[in-house]
Amino acid sequence: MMKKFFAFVTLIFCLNFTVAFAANENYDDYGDYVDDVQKVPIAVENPVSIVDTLRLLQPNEVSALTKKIQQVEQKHQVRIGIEFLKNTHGQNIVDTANSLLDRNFLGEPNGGILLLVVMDSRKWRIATDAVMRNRISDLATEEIATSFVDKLTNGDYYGACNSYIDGVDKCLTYYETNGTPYDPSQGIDSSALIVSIITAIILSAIFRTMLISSMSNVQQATTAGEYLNRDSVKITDKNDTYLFTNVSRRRKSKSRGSSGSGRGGGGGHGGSGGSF
Amino acid sequence: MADTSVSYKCPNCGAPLTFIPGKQTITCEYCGTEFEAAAIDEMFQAKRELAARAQEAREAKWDTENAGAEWTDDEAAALKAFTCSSCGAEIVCDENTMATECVYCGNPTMIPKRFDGALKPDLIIPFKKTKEDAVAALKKFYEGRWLLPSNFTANNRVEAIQPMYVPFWLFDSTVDAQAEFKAAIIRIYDTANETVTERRVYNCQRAGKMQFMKIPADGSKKMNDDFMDSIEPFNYNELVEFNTAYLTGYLADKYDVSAEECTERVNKRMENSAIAVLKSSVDGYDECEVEDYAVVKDIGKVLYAMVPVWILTTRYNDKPYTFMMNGQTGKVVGSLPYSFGKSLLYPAVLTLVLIPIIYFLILALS
Repeated sequence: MMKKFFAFVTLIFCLNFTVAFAANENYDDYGDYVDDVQKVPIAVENPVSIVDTLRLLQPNEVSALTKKIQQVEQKHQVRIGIEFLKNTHGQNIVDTANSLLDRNFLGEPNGGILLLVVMDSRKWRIATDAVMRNRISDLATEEIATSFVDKLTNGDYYGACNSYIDGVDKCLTYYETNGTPYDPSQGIDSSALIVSIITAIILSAIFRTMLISSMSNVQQATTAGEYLNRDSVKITDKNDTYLFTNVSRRRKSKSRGSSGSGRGGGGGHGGSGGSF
Repeated sequence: MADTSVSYKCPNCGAPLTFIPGKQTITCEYCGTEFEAAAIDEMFQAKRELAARAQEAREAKWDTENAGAEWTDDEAAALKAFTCSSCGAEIVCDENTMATECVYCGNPTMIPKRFDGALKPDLIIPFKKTKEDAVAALKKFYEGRWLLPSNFTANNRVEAIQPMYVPFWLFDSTVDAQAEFKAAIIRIYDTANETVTERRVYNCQRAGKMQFMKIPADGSKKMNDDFMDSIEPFNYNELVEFNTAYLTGYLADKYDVSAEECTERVNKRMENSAIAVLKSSVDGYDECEVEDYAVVKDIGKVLYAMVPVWILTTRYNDKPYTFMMNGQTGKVVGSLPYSFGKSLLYPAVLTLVLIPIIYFLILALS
């Protein structure tokens, strides 16, 4: 009787432990996360799209974003993921993102894409697999990032996720419509446009000043060069003395690039990354 | 009593004589007889002396009490009345007027008293450009002015056009100039991580002598200095000894700004040019700026000359616009009105053209 009782208590305890562990697994510190995500089944009916171990998103926000991701996934036959992690345990964010992408966000015919946000280092990374990279180029991922980095900086994580999904949807739609990946260089470069407008306005203002000044040729004479007898000029003293040397150094600007960019990385992965 | 002014009349037919620009002679426009300017001058010498004496006599009687109640003492002193020898009308002009024409009969008239003593110019540049030349030059001056109001030329007419001999001082001087310049040789090179700019700085001392010939400065308060500066230069090869005959048919003023009063302007012009000459000798450097200088002028010669100027006045939107033309070279100077709308339209169009060009340049270079 006692054996049966202890067996029953042990069973109840094990069941409780299992339920409690299952309930807590998504909210643990990332220290246990990499092992945990390996336990997430890949081929399930409603695969996980958002992993928020830090509870940065409200449950209703997770639901709304998940629904939106699923719609975009179905529309384009792709996998789209978003993961917020505390840290990467010293691992390179590029490798971490690629690893998570390969592990959890593949399986659809048109490839997968993952946005990984690491809160300790305040870095983000968009990883794409080889198939997705043909649809969303590395440059295009940088363009997508411009729509959400500011929101991440401001703590608007829901808005950042929304912008990311919209950007992915836009790029995939572009690819399906045009047959080629979206190329940001073909679009309007807003910073170049602003510089162009300001430069054009400055040049036009100078042009206007010149036009107005051309309406009058009245000006005070300040020199008498026309009345100089050139033959009379005699330079009687010419003495040059070296004084000093000034040296100024300007560090060369680095070419534009995303930190830890996985462009051309192993396994055909692509994407871009940076800080927020 | 002799006339107080002398009318230059043709000794042949009695018609008014006018000096034809570009000629050394005076031609009667009515009978076509030509006279040497010197001959005419000699011919009327006696008349001028008489007129001058008559003027002296008349001025001796000039008194503010007889000037009428309306005029103040100062005004009375500034205004002079002369009798036209052609029609007898009284000509009123200011104290500086040397030559004018009778407002009633148009007879060219000179006031000989004004030529006396120190007031007599040394040299004169005779008019070469005619009234027609002046009008044509003004029309050409309008050309190519993008901002000129559309109705300016359409509604524009020359209201007044007057030829005038303007008194000028011509300054000759030799200068000793010394200057210190800070000059630099700049070398820019790249290392693996940096762009290095190396600036080797030198102190450059220069000294030199040079001569300036006939720097002009107008001696008339009536004439805007900037306008007179702008109609330069004059061709001094055509300077001739002053002869009153050249003034016939033209307005002329004597100076009311002394040579001494003009020296500051002239000195500054000479200094700037002398320093520029020294600076041009600082060669082999990428940068050069003046640190200090001293320009010492020898006591130079000053000549008093009359130079020819056409004064043209037009009116637009009830506002007068004055232009001046160098009566020798034909150079026109003046300030034209501009259309505010056009001044915005052209730059706006340019902005629209430039934006895509600069945009694609930036993309191509980035």
